[in-house]
Amino acid sequence: MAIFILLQLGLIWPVYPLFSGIEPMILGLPLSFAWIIFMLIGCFLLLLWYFLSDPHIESPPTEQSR
Amino acid sequence: MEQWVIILGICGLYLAITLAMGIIPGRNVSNSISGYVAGDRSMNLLLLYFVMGASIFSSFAFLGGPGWAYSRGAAAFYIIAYGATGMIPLYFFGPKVRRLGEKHGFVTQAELLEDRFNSQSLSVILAVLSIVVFIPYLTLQMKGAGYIITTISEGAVPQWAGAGVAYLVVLVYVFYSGVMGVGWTNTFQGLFMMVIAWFLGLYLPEKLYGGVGEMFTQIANSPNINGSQMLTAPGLAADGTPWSWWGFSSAVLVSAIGFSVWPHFFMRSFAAKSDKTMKLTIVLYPSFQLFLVPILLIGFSAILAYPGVQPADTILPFILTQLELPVVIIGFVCAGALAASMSSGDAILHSAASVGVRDGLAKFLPDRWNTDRKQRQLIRLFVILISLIAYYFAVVSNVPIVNLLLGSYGGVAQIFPLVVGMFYWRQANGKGALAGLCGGIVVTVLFLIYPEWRPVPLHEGIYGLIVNIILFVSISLATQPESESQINRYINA
Repeated sequence: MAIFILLQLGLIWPVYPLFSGIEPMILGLPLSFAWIIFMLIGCFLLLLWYFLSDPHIESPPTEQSR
Repeated sequence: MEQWVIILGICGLYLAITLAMGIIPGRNVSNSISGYVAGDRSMNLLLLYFVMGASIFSSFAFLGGPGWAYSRGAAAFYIIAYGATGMIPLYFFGPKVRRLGEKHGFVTQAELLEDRFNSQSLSVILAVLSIVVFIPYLTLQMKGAGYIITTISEGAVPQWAGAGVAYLVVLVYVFYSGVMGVGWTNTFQGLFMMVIAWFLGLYLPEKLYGGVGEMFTQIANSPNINGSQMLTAPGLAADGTPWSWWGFSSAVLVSAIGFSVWPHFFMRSFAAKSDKTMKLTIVLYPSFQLFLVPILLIGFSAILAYPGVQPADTILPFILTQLELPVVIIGFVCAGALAASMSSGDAILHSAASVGVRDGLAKFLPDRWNTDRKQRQLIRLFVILISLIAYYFAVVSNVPIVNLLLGSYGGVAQIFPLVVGMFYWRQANGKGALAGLCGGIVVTVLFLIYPEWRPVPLHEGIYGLIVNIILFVSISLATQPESESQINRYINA
């Protein structure tokens, strides 16, 4: 939950303004653009973590061992 | 043979494949409401992923996304920002929604809320709200499709014919196959769009500037368009002045809150095969969001190369007519843009008809009309009716319908507090929910029409949400909760 709020704040004021500039360019993208993509990847990792730490009650045992 | 004939031929081929993919799966689902609206609750990961992804990426993404990047620079990152977190709540609601649907036979969002809050009025209000936001949405998709066909045929095919043919295909498969038609065509259309978007998004900066990095460096250093201002978040507002952090943040927040409760999106949870399918779809969803990156690159690539194109939303077709691209590629891009329009249009059409009948009309019909078979026929009738209304607005009427759509995110976001209350707050009751929803919608609409009344320049939906939550909480606390068994069903779902 805390990570979720942190990511949300990363996408808006007050955190995003800290990374809103153009320099440094990352992989050819301005920092403001790259930051948003980082946040998106962050959301993906958060969801992945939710999923992997989920007990998966209904799935077969082989899936649980993941 | 003229060039545009080949391009149209490719688009025609695409339409034919879509039609076939839309009709075939309809033969395998049962002839019931659950089959038509929720695909017999049998969608696997692949289908669900593309249905959810492709129905969000509409004409707006393909035409509006590059348009924003082109005219407003970093403001366009808003589109990626709200989708990133907007999806996360559905990870928690989705499986609950699915299980309740399976157990009690629900197929729409309003049915769930009606049952939990024991209020028919709530269901009817939600049905009306859904149709009010869906019709302009569908109209814009049709306009987009018509526009693409007209532009590439150099005016030989008028807009009414282009929109008509594309949406006749949609009408046929939605009418015939219901949600499974939407599912299979979206899978095909989604893949198609992704390939096209990545190709163009990387090709254009390479061709025009010699690379993505080089492109951004040139934009940032360009003095006459104030490029550095443009690339610094949050970019420019619609009038070309720098956008405020208030405006950007509140717009992202409202859209993110509304994202997971859009009726056509939310109700796909009922179609999921299992909880695991549902959860995995959400986990993988950000990969669909990544597809917006090349879309925005397309818009950025035009800033220096083609200044002054008006309106900004026409930038993608404009680039296509300017570049010396092989004719087959142009054909594919146009088909890709059609795919974007149709894959959202079909989901919206299907949901609008289902919600309109199940949650609106059915409440006023005598019992003998409310059989499964009759309702299914009514939904199909609504599919035709809603297509015709949207088509009328798209090609005949000149009512500025875009304004309606602008307000829709603020309106839809008002459903969110109710959904949270439904699952996580025992005290939440029907009176509170009704008051909150109505209050929130009224305030949102009011501030949308009179923006100068806002105390601070926040998105109107934020004010609506504040009023919504205050009313919902206070009235729920002041009145009796719903019956214990009902609450438990949802809290423990």
